[in-house]
Amino acid sequence: MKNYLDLAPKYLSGHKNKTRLTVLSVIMAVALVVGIFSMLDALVTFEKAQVLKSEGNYHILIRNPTQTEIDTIASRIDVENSGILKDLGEGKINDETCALGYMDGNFAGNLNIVLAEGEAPKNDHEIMLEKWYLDQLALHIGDTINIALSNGITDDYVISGVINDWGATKAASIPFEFVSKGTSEGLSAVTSQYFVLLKEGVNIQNAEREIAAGLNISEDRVGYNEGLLALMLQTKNNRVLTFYLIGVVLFGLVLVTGVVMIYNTFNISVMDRVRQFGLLRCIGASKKQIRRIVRRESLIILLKAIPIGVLGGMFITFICSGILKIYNPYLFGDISIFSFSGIGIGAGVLTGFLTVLIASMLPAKKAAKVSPVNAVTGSETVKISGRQKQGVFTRLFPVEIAMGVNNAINKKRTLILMTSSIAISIILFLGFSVLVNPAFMGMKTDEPYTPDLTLTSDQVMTSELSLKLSQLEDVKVLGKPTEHLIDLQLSGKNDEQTVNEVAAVIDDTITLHDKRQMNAEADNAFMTIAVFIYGFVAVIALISILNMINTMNTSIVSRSKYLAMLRAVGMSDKQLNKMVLAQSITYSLTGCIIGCGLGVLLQKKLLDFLAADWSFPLYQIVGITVICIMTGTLSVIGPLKKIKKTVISETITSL
Amino acid sequence: MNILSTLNLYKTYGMGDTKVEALKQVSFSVSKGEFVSVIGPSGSGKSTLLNMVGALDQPTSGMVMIDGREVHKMKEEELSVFRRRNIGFVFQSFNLIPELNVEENIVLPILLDYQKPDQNYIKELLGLLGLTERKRHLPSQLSGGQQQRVAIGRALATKPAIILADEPTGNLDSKNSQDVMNLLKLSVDQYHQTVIMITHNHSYASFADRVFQVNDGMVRELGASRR
Repeated sequence: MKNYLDLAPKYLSGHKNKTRLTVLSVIMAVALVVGIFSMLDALVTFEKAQVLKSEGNYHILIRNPTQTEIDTIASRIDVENSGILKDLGEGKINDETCALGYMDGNFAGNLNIVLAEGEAPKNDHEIMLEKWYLDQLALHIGDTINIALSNGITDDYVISGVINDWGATKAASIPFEFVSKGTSEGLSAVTSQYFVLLKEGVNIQNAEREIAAGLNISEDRVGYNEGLLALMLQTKNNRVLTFYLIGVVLFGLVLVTGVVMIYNTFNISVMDRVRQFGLLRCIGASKKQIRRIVRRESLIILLKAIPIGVLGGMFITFICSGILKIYNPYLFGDISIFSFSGIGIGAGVLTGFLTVLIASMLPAKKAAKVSPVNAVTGSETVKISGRQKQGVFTRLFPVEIAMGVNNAINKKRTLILMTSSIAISIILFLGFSVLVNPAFMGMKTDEPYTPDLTLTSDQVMTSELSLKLSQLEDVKVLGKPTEHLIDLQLSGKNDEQTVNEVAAVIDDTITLHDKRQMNAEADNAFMTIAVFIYGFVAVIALISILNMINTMNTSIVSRSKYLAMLRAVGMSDKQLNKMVLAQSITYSLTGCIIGCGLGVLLQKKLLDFLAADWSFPLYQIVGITVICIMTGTLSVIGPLKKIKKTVISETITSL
Repeated sequence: MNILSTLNLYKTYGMGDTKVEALKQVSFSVSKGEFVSVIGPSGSGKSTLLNMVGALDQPTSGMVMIDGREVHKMKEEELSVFRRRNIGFVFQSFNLIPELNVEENIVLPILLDYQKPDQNYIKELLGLLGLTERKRHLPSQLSGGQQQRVAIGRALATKPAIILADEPTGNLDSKNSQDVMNLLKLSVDQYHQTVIMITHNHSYASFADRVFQVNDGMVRELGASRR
């Protein structure tokens, strides 16, 4: 030993169990934050890719622009790329409706109009269409197709290229056909949209304001790629901002939880050693030195916990991404399983440091305040207030239970800490569960009644048809089919084949709407958030449970003499069990009641805020109560075993 | 030369009905190299006196001078430093740091003073205490008598002006008690230490050069014992 600060590591290694618990809770806090941020990072990256895929890669759009507007905007220095998409109205192919349009070639990629084969139409009588439609008509590139354009002229067009499917048009069963620039100029556009992608780092709202003001474009002519802007944190959308605000509030709560719990652990460790600190003061340690020792301890804990926490967080991210990928390969197939998020790790390390420093500051102060007299007199025992208790509990319960409840209530500080840490976990759970609500998130998700396929027809569909369909393998007809609409659900794995079978059964008068991709799109986002949020809450609950076990452990061990004394005067093991159990259940139930009360309130407020319906979360409350009681019970098993192993006389004589 | 002197020391606890006068009008002085024992029944004020003299607690009024400095005029931080350099404590319940081994426990006060332990002196101390063989042992691996010897070693480590011993033999059998008393005596003779010892045992009290009796907060000298 070279320095008095070496006391810190020596103390920690001398109390392996306690240290392990503290390190574990810090690890979990760090892992949690690293996990959240890495996952968020990965998801933002991923969702961005999704938005780029579904909405397109643009920031703002101008409806029905004039040529001057187009020229002015295109020449701006902060514009990366721009292009026009024209809706040229409906056309007819074999008397079936199709949508006609034109897209500037340089921007087509940004809107995911990706050429699968062939090339974009250049000449007057060329056309480009969607792959699914091409397959449906069994046509190939170079074939001609007869189209009636919106101006009434019917002509033959050569298929010059094929583009990849669009989810929306496929579900609506209206194919999109792209004509050449020349053709488009001969037709009158129903609407046109001028898409603008700004350069990276440009303040989009400012740029939009400038453009609109400079060209005198009215507000209703400007549109935004909301999804993308939201992910870039550049949105003006109130709903999205509200969502972010709630996220910030909940994250703040998580931080508070972390601080409270780690504080609790440090505090217990300090309170346990009042005598030791008093002794150190006696042999000449100054207040500053005591503070330093406590701080050194927390530093050592941090150095142990942070690397493991970071790895743990990366592991959480790995598992979460893995679950998403396996659960929904259709949509999350592209998410990267191994992601290394600088933001995530940075946030985790920072939170770890902040939490531990804040959490150890007060206990360190408290430790420094310990009077050296304590070491001499050993008067660190709890002072019971002068007012005598009326013995209400002894009248209500058997004596051992009354004693347990009293033990819990008399130590106000421990009661507050235990109760608050349990309550916070519950509040977080109830608060977060609001977010796991598809209706609120504006998403439709797979309910038992969501159809995968919908058949529609202008003509009457007979009941024989639905009978025939329901006899197909893996196909279920949903609800009561009407003459014009039949909803189908697929249950097998080989959906593609089943869809073909359905297609074979129906005739030309019936249109098949394939809704699977749309459903899955809504589903995936919901799943992501649900997995994410519940995982998050689970870890918080785990920290809380660990904290409870830790507190019960120290509370029991520190009173081993007292317990031995009780056993010596005739308390049986069974009574001892009951007493200790009563104490821990008092903690957990008080926490449970406060947590549920405040949590329900928070839930209601959040839902009011979001203008959504609220109903009393009975099932959640019942579940929480059960878990609380279980935690209370679990936390005393270990320490009780330890107590019973010791011989009464040994403990007593060391008084 | 007076190493310690008190003048009109008063200490009262509580207010009104619960007011207790733990020390009343205490004035005495101790010279360097003296071995003083303090006797008295439980609750007489012995421990309070020790706390005052050890600069652990503030008197209600009066003055304590150690080595020419008025203890209670010092600020908290100053007092810590003063305590670590000038006062060594020996407790009834040993009070060693359980995570530190014998040698580490002994040098801890030196480390707290940011000094380098003088290895020769520590070696000498360990020899004197009969703990050379056990310097790597933890307190839990030692007998009560050995633990108390470590505590005395710790008190001697910084060569303080005064060693305050609060019933150092209270938890020991007679053989170990004798050893501890001999050690305290030896530190007085060999290192010219000043020792103030509280004891219940009148025969150990007679080891001292002077005996003070505390009764109801009053301190009275019983006159020089046989030496």
